[in-house]
Amino acid sequence: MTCREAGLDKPSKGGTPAETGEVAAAASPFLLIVAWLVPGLGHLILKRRLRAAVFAGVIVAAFLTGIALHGELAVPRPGAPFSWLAFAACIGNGVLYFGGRLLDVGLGNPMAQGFSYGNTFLVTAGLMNLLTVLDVSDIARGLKE
Amino acid sequence: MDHFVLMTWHATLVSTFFAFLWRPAGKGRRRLFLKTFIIMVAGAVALGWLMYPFP
Repeated sequence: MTCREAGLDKPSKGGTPAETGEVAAAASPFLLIVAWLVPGLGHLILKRRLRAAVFAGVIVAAFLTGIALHGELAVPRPGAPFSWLAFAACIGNGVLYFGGRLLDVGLGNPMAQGFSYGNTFLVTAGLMNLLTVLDVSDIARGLKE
Repeated sequence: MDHFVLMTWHATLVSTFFAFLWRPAGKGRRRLFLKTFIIMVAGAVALGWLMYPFP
């Protein structure tokens, strides 16, 4: 993948975009979608290997903890507006969310002792992954190293 | 299921995440990790004690 495909505009003279003040208008949508779908992959494409590994590890660990505690991968329910917020956060997990729904894990057991904690971990994992997408966008645009 | 262990595990994950998100490297990263981790764990324990007299 070239720099332009990854959303990276090469600086015209001297240093990185962050140093020269040159900022791209937007990162590649492909890059952002990939960063959302697979935790850490956006950073890996941008050659931030350590951050990619840490983000992937943290997000997957939080997700698996949530599943192990019988948390629910939220789906929107009519008449329950907060379920939409939980859904928006949970779908932030990308393929982990879709894989979990396909494999029938993360259905949630409200009678389980860890249900609320599990939901918290799943929501946290999704929100952290969405923050990594914003980080990938900032790096690709040259706003951040 | 130990609530304190779960809280500590959650604090560890979140602190690690933000340390790597907000600091480029080195000492600043370690300091941010420790600061957020201690605030979350100690703050939750302190808040728990403060709430203890209330029903």
